[in-house]
Amino acid sequence: MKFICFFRCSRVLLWIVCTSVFFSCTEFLEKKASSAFALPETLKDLRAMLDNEAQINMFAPSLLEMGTDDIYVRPEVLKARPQAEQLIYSWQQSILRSEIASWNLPYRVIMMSNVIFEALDRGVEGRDAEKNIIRGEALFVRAYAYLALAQLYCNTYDETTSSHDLGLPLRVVSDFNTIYARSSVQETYDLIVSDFKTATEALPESVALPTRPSKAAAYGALARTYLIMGRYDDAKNAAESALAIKNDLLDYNDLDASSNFPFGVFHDEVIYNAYTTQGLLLVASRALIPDDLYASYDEKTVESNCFLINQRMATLFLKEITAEGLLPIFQVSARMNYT
Amino acid sequence: MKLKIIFGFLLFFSVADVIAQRYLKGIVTDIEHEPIEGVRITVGGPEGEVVMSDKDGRFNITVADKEMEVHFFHVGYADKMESIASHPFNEDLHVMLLTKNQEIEEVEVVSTGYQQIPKERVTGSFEGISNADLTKRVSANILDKLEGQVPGLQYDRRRTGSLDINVRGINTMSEGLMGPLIVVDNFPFEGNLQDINPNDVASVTILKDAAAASIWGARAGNGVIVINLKKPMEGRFNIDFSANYTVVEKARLKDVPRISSSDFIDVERMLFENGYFDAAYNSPYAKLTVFSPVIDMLFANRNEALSDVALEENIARLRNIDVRDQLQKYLYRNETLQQYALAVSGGNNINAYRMSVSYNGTEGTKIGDSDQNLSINLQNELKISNKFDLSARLMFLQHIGKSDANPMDYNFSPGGGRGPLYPYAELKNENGENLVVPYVYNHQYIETLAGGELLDWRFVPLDEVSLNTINASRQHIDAQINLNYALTPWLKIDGLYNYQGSRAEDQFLRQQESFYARDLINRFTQINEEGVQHIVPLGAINQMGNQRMQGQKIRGTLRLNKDFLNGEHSINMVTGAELSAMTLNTADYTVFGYDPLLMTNQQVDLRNIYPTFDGLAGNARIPTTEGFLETTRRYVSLFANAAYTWRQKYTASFSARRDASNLFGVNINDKWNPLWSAGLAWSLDREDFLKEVSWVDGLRMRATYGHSGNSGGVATSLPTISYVSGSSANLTSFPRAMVSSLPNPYLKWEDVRMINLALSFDIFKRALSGSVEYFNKKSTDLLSQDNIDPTAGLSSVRRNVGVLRGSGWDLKLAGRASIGNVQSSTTVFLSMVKDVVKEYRGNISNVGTYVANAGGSLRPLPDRQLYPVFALRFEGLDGENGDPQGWRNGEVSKEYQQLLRDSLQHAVYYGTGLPPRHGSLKQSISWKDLSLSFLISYKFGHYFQKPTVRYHALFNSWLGHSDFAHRWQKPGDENFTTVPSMSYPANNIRDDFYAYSEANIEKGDLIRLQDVNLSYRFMRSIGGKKYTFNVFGAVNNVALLWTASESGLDPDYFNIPPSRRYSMGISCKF
Repeated sequence: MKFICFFRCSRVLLWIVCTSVFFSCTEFLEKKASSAFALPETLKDLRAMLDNEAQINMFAPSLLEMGTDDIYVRPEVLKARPQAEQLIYSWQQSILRSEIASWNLPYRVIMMSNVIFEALDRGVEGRDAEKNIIRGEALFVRAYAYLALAQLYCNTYDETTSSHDLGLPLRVVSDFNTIYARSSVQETYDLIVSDFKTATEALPESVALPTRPSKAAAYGALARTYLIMGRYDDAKNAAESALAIKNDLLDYNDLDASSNFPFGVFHDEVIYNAYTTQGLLLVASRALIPDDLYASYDEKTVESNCFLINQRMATLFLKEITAEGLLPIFQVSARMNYT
Repeated sequence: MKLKIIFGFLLFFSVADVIAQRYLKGIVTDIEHEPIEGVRITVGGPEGEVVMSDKDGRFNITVADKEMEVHFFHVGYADKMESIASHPFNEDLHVMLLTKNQEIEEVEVVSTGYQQIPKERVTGSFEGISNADLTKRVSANILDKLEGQVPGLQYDRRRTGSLDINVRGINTMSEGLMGPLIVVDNFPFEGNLQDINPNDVASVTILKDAAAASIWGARAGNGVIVINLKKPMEGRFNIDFSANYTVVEKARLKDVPRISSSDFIDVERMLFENGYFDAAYNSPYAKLTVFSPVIDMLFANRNEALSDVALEENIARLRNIDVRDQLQKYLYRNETLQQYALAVSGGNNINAYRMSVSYNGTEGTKIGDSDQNLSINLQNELKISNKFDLSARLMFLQHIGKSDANPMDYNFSPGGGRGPLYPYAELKNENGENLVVPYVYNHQYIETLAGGELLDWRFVPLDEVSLNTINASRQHIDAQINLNYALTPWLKIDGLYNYQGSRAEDQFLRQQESFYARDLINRFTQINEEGVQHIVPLGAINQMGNQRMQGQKIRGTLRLNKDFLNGEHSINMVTGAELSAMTLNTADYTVFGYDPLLMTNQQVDLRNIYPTFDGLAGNARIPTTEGFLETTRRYVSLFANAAYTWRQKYTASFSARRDASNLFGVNINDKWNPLWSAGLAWSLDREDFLKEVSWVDGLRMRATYGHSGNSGGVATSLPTISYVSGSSANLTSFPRAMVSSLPNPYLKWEDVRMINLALSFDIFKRALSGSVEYFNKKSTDLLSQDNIDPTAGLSSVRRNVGVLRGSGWDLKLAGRASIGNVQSSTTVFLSMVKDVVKEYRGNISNVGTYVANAGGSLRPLPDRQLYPVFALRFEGLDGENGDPQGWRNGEVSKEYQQLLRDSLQHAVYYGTGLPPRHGSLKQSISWKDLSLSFLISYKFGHYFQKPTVRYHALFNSWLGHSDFAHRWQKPGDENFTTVPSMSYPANNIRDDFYAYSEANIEKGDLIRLQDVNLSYRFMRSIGGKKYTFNVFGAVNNVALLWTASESGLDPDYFNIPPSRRYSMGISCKF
């Protein structure tokens, strides 16, 4: 008899234990699986995402420079490169063109900025001023990415045709299940311009490092966009707004001309730094500067020897403008705005 | 007088009592006929009479007529119940008790980690490996000893240094979710299995189907391996000692086919004559390009700094040199392993204990590598009262490893744009001087810097010995307490608590004289008008990593084992709940300017970017490793397992489990996942119609159906980001984060549904036995990377896109025979598995992805097996120029670019790279005390892709293959070779086409003699005590007996095949 009672009691006990275990489970199972993971919920998270320069600043598509006449490559050097690069250099359309980083990396930046917008819309704790800056930065990087993509994959902006020329898929949400069709060139550039404009209002004038966009950067980027669109007066106005904030110039005489890397990464002229590590065809040991481009620079620049190495074989090697083979082809710098 | 009458009455009654009772007497012994003292013998339940056996094992107990059963209990032995219904009561009853270890030795009981089930009651598919089988191969790692011992267990060692085990094929598409769960006694083991003392292992049970494994729930989708440790032993005091020594042949470096030095030099001369090196040799970037001695001499000769005669003499000498000879002589040696183990056990019926200590020491195959393992294991079983049992275990494991991280080994790459080293490199010359080998930089440039303010920048491989050392130490504690309380004899409550904790520390110390330190110091040296400044200070560089793990598990179970109505019905049930938590912490850091003796270091500036010397590496920050990480895994589970047997013939079982875990980012309700199984078993040998057939001893049929899972993906409604520590390659030092996954609310755990049908038989008194099992599995909701539209920002996401279907057979046949003193036992296994992808919604790339490294990775494709082997169609060589030819649009084609990007439908599909049919043959013959055994394993039905010569890589990166010697050289060669002609300039697409064509696919069928073991057992009486000795000699990796591969490569290994191991040893029991 006493066994049955015991049995029942222990059954009840087991259930009590189980249910209490179950309910305390909630807390037990809430512990994060890894200290490195988080949900994007705080300003610190969003700030960290925008500071991830390996993804936000390093997306610049190398395709923009590889097929241009700013550089040339000697035949035996070209033949040693993978087939895909050879086809890019000679502008051939082929299924072997496997280089897709120029398409993927800018879209990754666009996705990150969409995640940031959605996090801000869900509600983030913090001062409004800081939230504004984050929003402004996200708008800047998104528009910058779309600008790069538009130059590569769409027809040039032309007021007469751009409303039916095919543009880019304009992603504005991060959900990967949503499908987007290509918009028109007009819509694409409209988005770019409006994003930069909003950014000029939201961004601060001075920033800790040129990897973070500033007001001057937004104006500079806006100027470049107008230049591409052919709206020269708007471009001039935007450029002047940018230079009004930051217009430092380098004195080439101060630089060490004999070094292989005379410019530092963040030298005074840099307003915003974007770069690439793709497109190894452009590395200094391979790409050479054609004579006519060389001739277009004025003598003083040339004498300073800061840009190029003159070689006995009468070819010109490009000195890397910054560290480790990174090409700052997207530097919004004061110098460029003066031409 | 009155006293006499009373006394007479009493006597009468006692005699009357006696008439209705009888005495039962007998003797209790162990399996070796040694008497066991102190056995508790009871009749009629715990309230009945109890007697103890004496020191001769004899007992004497009164038994009422109606009693049928007598029970024998002793803490060191399995409980035994003897039926005395038909026992004549004036004869001695001889009872033999088996120790709990021995029970498992005969594999009469299977242990799942939750309960022990007698073999005649199981419905699921279990395989047991006994202690005798485990001693056949000498190894420091218990997992090595299981290879080839049971059907259905497959070992994949194709990738160098890695071991993948699978049970009945693959059930997932994610490489990270493969592999069976490994359990030690009752809980999964969180430490390193190589640290466990193999002598502590009594037996191993493999759980192969859903009914067996579903009690382990969401981690058992790939099967479970349960390692059962030895338990405290019998009443007598016992000592067990063993020692063995193993020596391994030197690493078979020359078994990897490489281009000969002579051919390589011919290629270099050809390239030189064609001006291939001219641009690079004279460019300003030549400082960072490595050139070989032959090229240097050719240029020197052209510039008239070296005479023709000297040039040809030197080259002729270099043709005969193979760097692997010197590597083996100076940097490699014979690996040796020593193992010592001592175990002591004893106790009485209240308390039994076992203590074991073991030491393993390995001197590795590369000079400077060594491993030492120490294991101390203390176990105790205490019978606190009739109903209360307590058992405790404390295991302490320590591992200390040292390895020499000299950059020079058989895989060495000199950098500077090259792959492997040129084959005629020399490490030491005839005068015994250690020679320089170019590394990272152009060595002629390095020579120009000698004698300046920089440290010596040369790399001398033989001087680097002991300058780059990795010291790793690891301590692991495993403590467990089991409490068993018997509410009634058939209802027991268990409480188990397990604590595991470990600390690991790794140190990578590079002395200042090492190349790495000198190189780093030199790179950051600033030389200007102010003098010489060392940004990286002089001294050693010490990189430390720490790991701490702590895990606790607690489990409560209720066990019910009751027979009703005289054995007509029996129920076995176990139910309970379990909580487990494990935390892992890691911390890494590096210090510079380190003095290993004083243990002091210097401060460095990690923040600023400095120009490197001569711009060799641009502007950079000092590279460092710094970081912290904590990962936590928590599980909550509820489980139940019940089996009902009717008439001891028919069994039905059911098992269910619900798991939840803390994988991140989701609602608690979605974290639970139920898994279940059901099974039936029929013991035909107990049926009346078979009881008459004397030659059938056992015949059972089983059928099971169930689900187990693979935890891996959890649904998320928000994106997750992960923080990354700053690295010296970054431009800024702000905290940074990246998006690691986008919201994916439809993610689920993987599910494996398995059906198992089995028939096992035992005939002619075990002269012939075996089993046939058929299984059918379907794995659904398999997680896999799924390519998506890259405009979404990620190029792929993990989704439940896959379905795998598999089926197969596990066959086992064993025979025993004896003629006089000679006994033979043979066991043959054959397992057949076919896993085919039924649904795969991921992106299918063009053929180029699948023909590269064919058969080496999972690569799911619809209607194809996993590890698919594809190749491009090959139409021989062009007779005029030796170009390889393919087939496109119905005709022979040399459009290599198009062929590599063609659709997958046009490729040739062979099958799978993982052997679908595999098995082994175990044979042992013994004559008196001498016994010889060997293990042969075989694999059939798979294919592999062999490497070959690639001219583009040969010219650019020095990657050479011996197929070069068989290349097409003149018209007519195409009749007996498929290797294309060398083309200059090289075309890497042409190389790729040939490398990925049918010409390089071979069958992987093989038969291998795995182990041979000769042992001799003898007993001696010394000083009244009996000593049992066992000496043995064994060889492992004996030989590859046969392979279908035409090139003679070993299909089981992508790189260096394993060397033969010779062992000998002795063990002693007393």
